[in-house]
Amino acid sequence: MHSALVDQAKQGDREAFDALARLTGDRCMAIAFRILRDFDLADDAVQSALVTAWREIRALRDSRLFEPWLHRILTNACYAEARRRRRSSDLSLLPVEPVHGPDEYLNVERRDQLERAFRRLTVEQRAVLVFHHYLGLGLPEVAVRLGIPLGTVKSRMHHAKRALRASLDAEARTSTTSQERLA
Amino acid sequence: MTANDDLDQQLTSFLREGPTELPYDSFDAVRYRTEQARQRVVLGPWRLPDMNRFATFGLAVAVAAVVAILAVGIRLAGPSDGFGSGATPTPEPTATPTPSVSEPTPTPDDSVAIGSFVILDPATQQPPFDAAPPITVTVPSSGWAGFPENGALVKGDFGVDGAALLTGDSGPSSYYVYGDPCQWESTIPDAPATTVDEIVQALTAQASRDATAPEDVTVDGYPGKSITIHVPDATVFSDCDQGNFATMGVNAAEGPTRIQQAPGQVDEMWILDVDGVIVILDATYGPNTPGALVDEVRSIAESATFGPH
Repeated sequence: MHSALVDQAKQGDREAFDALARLTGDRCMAIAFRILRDFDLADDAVQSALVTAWREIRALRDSRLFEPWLHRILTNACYAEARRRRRSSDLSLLPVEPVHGPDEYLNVERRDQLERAFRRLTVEQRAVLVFHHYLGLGLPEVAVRLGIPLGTVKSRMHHAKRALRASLDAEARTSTTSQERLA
Repeated sequence: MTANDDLDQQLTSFLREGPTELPYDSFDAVRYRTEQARQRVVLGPWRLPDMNRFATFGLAVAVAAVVAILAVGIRLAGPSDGFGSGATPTPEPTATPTPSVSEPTPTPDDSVAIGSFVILDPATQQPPFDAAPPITVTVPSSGWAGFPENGALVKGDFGVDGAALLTGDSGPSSYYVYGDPCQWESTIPDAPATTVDEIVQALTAQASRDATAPEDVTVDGYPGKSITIHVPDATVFSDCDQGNFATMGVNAAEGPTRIQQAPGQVDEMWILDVDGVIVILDATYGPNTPGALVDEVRSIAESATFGPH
């Protein structure tokens, strides 16, 4: 769909790249926010990724693969933003984003528990979860999209879910203990 | 429903929440920043061709491009323009290129003509490096293939028994030399190397490379350092981060730009300061490369001239 614009951008056409950015930027923002759990960091990561894509677009051999290629750049930008943030402050101290309404599977309390548990994962683990559960990609496609071996994807997925369960179980135990004390 | 299914569904629901739009101002910011940023012509010139993929998707196209570019380069390299000797190219017999997945050795009409040429961007006919001066090299024998989009000259399988000269990602102002090329994801330095001495120091300190002591050199009158680094014979690339044994990147966020090809590979690097711009020439070869070919790739690197500025 974007191939013609990509080809034009490869020739240095800034208007074409601007159009590409507007076609793909929202999805990038959605991905970046879900990985980083912070709006401003996600915004920075997307901007950085798009600028990088402009600079490097001539290296993209198959114009049809622009979006997967952009997503890989975006993921690296997210890693960089997370590292930058980690150096300057503790990411886990960021406030939890507001809840966006009830969900079939999530009540408010469970959602907040998931938010805290998700933030405890490494940014690499979060990326795998986002590409699989948010974008709906199969694990082999996640591996291609992230540029990592399939085994690494499976390993990150396994460890991420185990860590999530452990965090959620710990939260549940804490919650039960608190309620017993109040009773 | 199993606990696993339940967690999966909760995750899917959880990740469905959140913003899905980039702020309008951010698009404008990107637009402004791209107007200030020049496209990199040769990606990382250091991200070497994945020969298997390259052979599958575009060897013939790339070869056609390089022949055309080199022809232009040779024209530009006449004695009056200071780009080199401008030796008359030797016409090569034409034949249909025969891409080979496992054997990237160039066929006759893939070959770069013997003589001097300046490395040019196929799209713009301009030197391909952001800030570096034009680089001219002299090829002394037949059998070399040019890959301008990678800034590379290649003869044979350069990770095993061939050789390549990478004119490299010369020109960036910063180089992130990983602390450990196998565990590169977790050993990205906080601050990049920005001078010849800093780059050499970082390469010397890089884990497992068995780096030689740096030596002072000059190429085309420009000062710098040379250093030789190795990929350990026992390295299992699939055990490394993302399956890559990576020497460095030019941006912390973009991942590696110089990825090694095989265990036992050697990189002889000339890291030069050309009027304040870092130029890196990397003569790389495999553990089974004949000595004569090693000498040849060294001679190509040492033939480099820079300019005009």
